[in-house]
Amino acid sequence: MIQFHKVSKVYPNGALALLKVDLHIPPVDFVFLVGPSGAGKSTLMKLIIRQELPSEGQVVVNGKNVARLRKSEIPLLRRKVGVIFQDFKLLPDRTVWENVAFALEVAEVSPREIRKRVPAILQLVGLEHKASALPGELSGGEQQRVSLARAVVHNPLVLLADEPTGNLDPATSLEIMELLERINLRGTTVVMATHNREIVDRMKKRVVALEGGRVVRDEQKGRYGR
Amino acid sequence: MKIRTVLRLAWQGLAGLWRTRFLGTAAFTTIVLALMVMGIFLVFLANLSHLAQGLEERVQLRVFLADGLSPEAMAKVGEQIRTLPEVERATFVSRSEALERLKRQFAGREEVFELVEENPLPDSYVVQPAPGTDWAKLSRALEQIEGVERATYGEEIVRRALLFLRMTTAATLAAAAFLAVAITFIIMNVIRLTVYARRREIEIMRLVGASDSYIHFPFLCEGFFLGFCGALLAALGVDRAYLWLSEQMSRSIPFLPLLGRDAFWLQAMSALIGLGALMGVVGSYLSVKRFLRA
Repeated sequence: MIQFHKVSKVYPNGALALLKVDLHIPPVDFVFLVGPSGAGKSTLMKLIIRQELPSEGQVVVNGKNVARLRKSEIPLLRRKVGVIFQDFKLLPDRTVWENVAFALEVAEVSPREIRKRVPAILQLVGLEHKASALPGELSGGEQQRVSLARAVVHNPLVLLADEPTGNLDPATSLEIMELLERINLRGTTVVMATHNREIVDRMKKRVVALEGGRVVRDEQKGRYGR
Repeated sequence: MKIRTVLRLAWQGLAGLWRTRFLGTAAFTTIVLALMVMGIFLVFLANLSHLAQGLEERVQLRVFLADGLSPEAMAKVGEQIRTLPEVERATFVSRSEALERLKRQFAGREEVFELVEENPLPDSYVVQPAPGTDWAKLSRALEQIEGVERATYGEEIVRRALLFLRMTTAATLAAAAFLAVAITFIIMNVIRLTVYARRREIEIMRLVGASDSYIHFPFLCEGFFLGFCGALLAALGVDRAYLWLSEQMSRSIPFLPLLGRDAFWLQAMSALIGLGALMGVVGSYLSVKRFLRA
């Protein structure tokens, strides 16, 4: 599903983010990316959705070298790869329903299809009763669930989660993790960057540890630290 | 893009204008004023070109004949002149006719002619060249005809007048181009405000897979509305101003008539509105492109 072949990334200011990273993530895998801040976790995700281009090496997603995608193909890639963030990135002046529908509108999905898919996905994340609420009226956990609903409403092949529990309390974090696991079981590959030791240790999934831009550890059913 | 999407995005463009209405109003006023100046330039250019054309049409060549030609020989010269393809019309003016004309021009000062014992003027032909003729070339060709002493068209005056008109036209065009760039920049900055206001939305749009054209479109509409409406208002302003100026000029300098509003008006105003709309679209495209690249 996702392959990194000797990928290095140096930013224009000279900062080295990744160095000769080799990584293979098969379909329906669940991977935690761990490591200190600046280790390269976010850069790795940005390369997957082609927010950044590798300085060296190849990033292949769903059989396609993302660096070679035509400009018009990038949006199509991003519809196959959902993303959620620590700060949720919701539109504050739009309701829950509208925030989720937004992802379908930009893909020019028909209104009828939107009316069908949005309630189903809101039900999946347990927010069908909050469809007309604004993000400001929701708790952090609920906002992250809206963000999650928006990320998976396209039925993406991959879900990238960049510190999704960073702003949440432990109980809410667990709820989000349960949802991510459910989404993973539906056939979506999940790649999650996190600093949350407790969650990583509890979930017993594959753990890829990065340090100084290198993969220093890659183990199945791993733990946060050695 | 589907029609439904186009309409929705166009509506978003209008909403964007509304969102930045306070800062936008000042910018919009500037755009209207700048477009009015541009409109005045356009109208001025049309008048200049009309003037130049009029001047070119009014240029006539005088072909002076050699002394002592028989009437038959003079008629033969006339025939030869008329066979030239660049000649539209050639009228014979006898030396006595020429003197009469001169006397008419000096009416009231006939004493000048008392000094002249004999008519010094030669027989001549007045030649009307076809439009677009190279007068210098025609004058050389006419001088080749046997019996022709000299052919002239007031070279120096015509040359200077046309040079002046051409230089003024070039300067006006340059100023209009400069103005067009300035207007495009103003529109770029107005759009930048709305882009900035919607930067979060744009960021999310890109993350969830919106195409660049989808992101661009509402802003292009916004730029189009700004340019189009600005130019429409400017056209109305120029129209009123031109009407007033024509009236003033026909009263005070009747020999220099302005073009009638019907002759070219629709073209000039359509050009102004088209240019306004184009500058709006280009300005907003550049603005969003810069933002998306950053």
